[in-house]
Amino acid sequence: MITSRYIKENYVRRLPSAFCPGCGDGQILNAIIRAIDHLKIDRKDVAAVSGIGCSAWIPSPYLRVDSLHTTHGRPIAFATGLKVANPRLKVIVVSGDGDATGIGGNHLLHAARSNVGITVIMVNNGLYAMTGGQVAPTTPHEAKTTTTPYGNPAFSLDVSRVVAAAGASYVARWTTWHMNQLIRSIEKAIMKKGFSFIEVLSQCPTYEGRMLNMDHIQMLEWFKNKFREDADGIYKIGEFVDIEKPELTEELEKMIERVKK
Amino acid sequence: MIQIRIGGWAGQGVILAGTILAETFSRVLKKNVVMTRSYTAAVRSGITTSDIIVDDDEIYDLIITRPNVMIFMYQKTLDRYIDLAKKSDFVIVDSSLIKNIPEEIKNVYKIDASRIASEISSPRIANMVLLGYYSRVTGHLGLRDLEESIRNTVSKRFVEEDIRAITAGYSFSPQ
Amino acid sequence: MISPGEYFVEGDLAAAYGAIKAGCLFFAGYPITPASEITQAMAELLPRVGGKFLQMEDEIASISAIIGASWAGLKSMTATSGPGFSLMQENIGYAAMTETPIVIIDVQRAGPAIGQASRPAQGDIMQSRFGSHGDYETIVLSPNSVQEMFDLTIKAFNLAETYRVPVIVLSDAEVGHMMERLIVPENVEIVNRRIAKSLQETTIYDESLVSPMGRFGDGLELMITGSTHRPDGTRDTGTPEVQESLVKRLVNKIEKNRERIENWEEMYTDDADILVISHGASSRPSKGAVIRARKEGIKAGFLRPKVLWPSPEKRMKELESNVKKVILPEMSLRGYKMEVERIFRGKLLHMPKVGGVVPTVEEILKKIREASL
Repeated sequence: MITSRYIKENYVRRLPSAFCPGCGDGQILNAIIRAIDHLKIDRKDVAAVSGIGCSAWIPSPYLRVDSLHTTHGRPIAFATGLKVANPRLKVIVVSGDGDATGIGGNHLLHAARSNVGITVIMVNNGLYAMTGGQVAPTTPHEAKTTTTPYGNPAFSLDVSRVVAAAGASYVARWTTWHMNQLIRSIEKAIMKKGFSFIEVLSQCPTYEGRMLNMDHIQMLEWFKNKFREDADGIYKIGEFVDIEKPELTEELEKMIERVKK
Repeated sequence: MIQIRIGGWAGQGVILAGTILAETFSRVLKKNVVMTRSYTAAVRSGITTSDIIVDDDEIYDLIITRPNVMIFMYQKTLDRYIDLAKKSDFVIVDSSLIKNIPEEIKNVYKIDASRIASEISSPRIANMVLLGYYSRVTGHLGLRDLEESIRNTVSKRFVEEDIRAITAGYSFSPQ
Repeated sequence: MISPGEYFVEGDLAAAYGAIKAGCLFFAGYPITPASEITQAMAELLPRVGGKFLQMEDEIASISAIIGASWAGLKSMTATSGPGFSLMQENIGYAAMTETPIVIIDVQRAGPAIGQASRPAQGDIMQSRFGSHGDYETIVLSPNSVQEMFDLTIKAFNLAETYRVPVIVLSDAEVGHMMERLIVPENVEIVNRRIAKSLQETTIYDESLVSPMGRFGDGLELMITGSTHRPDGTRDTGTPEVQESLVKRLVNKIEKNRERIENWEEMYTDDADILVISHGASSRPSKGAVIRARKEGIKAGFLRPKVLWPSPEKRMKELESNVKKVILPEMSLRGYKMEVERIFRGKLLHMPKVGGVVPTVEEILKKIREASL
């Protein structure tokens, strides 16, 4: 039985966190920790990389592993270098929707395409929260944010579908309501040889709540009722891709062996 | 100091000829050499030049200011560099491809390089014929020096062909 | 690999040879004229020494990847030119802030923007020092020959490992693309970073203000962040003293060690009335012009910073009181001008040449003659 005391003593650098009351980021930290603990991986073999945004703070400073808190949009590129340089490491990127698909979208596509064996957990709250609730690539059409005060004229991206199309080995989408599925999914993602991607719909009561006119309880209920494995589009949750195929780091190692001969 | 410019059209082996010549001066004759190249972005079309500066002393000027030798492999290149060619001690041209040489250019040495190359194997090695002829005309380096450099740098399957080409160029009576 | 001996190669290739000799085991890059030859050479050479090469999706990803790899303990490098160098600026600041040793080769081409892609220029000098936001210092080296592309790339790694800073080799299209003799010596001095065995060790700075570097995977539970942080890595953006001591140390790491880092070549400076200061490709004809001027009886001297930043400030100040005029030939309208002007003020005769062509001995000599009248 994993108690919260056990988690605090073994996996968390410090508490309380700086997250807003009701924020889903703490749940996601909890899910990552439980996945690592279930897998019984040595913490020194885990590296966490994050960019800029609220979710970047999930690993840095809270998760007690080597952590690299990088520039906005770039954690996947940093993580690629780290993983290729030391393939033994289980490299987990925790990124937000703006970080991973706005400023950093190019890196996400190419990491999926090259199938580098890192795990990206993308926390999706549908907007830029840390900077004050601005429109993101994931914000629904017509939604009001601080930079779309008259409604979002653009349309949102189904990130998981894009990452699946780009060639990832593992793609899943869950919400913070689906904690057990999420933990199992993170375990699978970490152990997946190739590029793994998990999109987690998470409640941001401060800004997303304002956009949707809901508090965090209502948002969790919304996740529970609306997001289903048999739903369509962005509301569809579950595992979308789970395949085995050659991975970048391994291919590089093979190439080096071949060339050195 | 010797300043040499080889000018041609992309794909004619201008850079290779320049590299072999530069390597001969540097590695075989132990001179100080700077070689620079200029080519347009499109790999297979455009004016291409290869500049070589040779000196016993340290090399200060990195660009050709007063050429001693200009080797032209293509009409348009000669047209472009007429002003420099007028100042050059030797102007060597592939007369198979260059028909129009302005009268104010003196010291012209013509060789039917592409035709000679075709007789050996293909016009592709006209650059090597011109190198051999350059050696004969200027005396800056010997045929053996060029040969040694070719053996050091060119991939094995082209060595014999290239050596036949430089020899043919060297054997051609200056005109 | 890269056996000792004589080569006849272009500058870009010599830089790649230098990197391999220095122990570089990771390269990430993106194609760009006139630096692609370095990237191609690293793609070919690295696997043969067991190193890793990645072509990334852009220059931002390239510098990100080499910073990541450096934290895994590998000596890492990227190579680029103007447009790519501009894209890398944010993460150069990140490397400075996180004290990550990396080497960046910028083979300068004429700008701004796309400019003349394959023509040389020297317009990135101020950017190489001030390109990223905020207060930080880097080390910038300036090779003027194929041999120095090799030598200074090795030196760049050594300085990066010593001071835990991003080091920039500021070459140009002329030096990068020209071919010359390269001598690879039997023995090359190599410096490796001090690796910390505990998190505590990473907080202890030596007299150079540098601490041993942690390595991911060693179990130190490192906390590396580009935000303002305490010595142990803890993010603390609200305490003024934390920002002050961090940023001052980042700057002082170079400033207080500058006499150990500064490096220059000089000639005929003892009695020079006219001092020619030049760097990179344009320093070649500059030196030739000074020698010619001496033969004409003009008291000309020559100073060439091989390290542009930190500049040879003390030496320039010493010379300032004796020289009457300073000529700075360079392939930029601003180049190194502000730094030289700062010290020599009204004595400077700036001699910029823009157009993508290296100045000639004759042009510089003419300027020296004019100055001597």
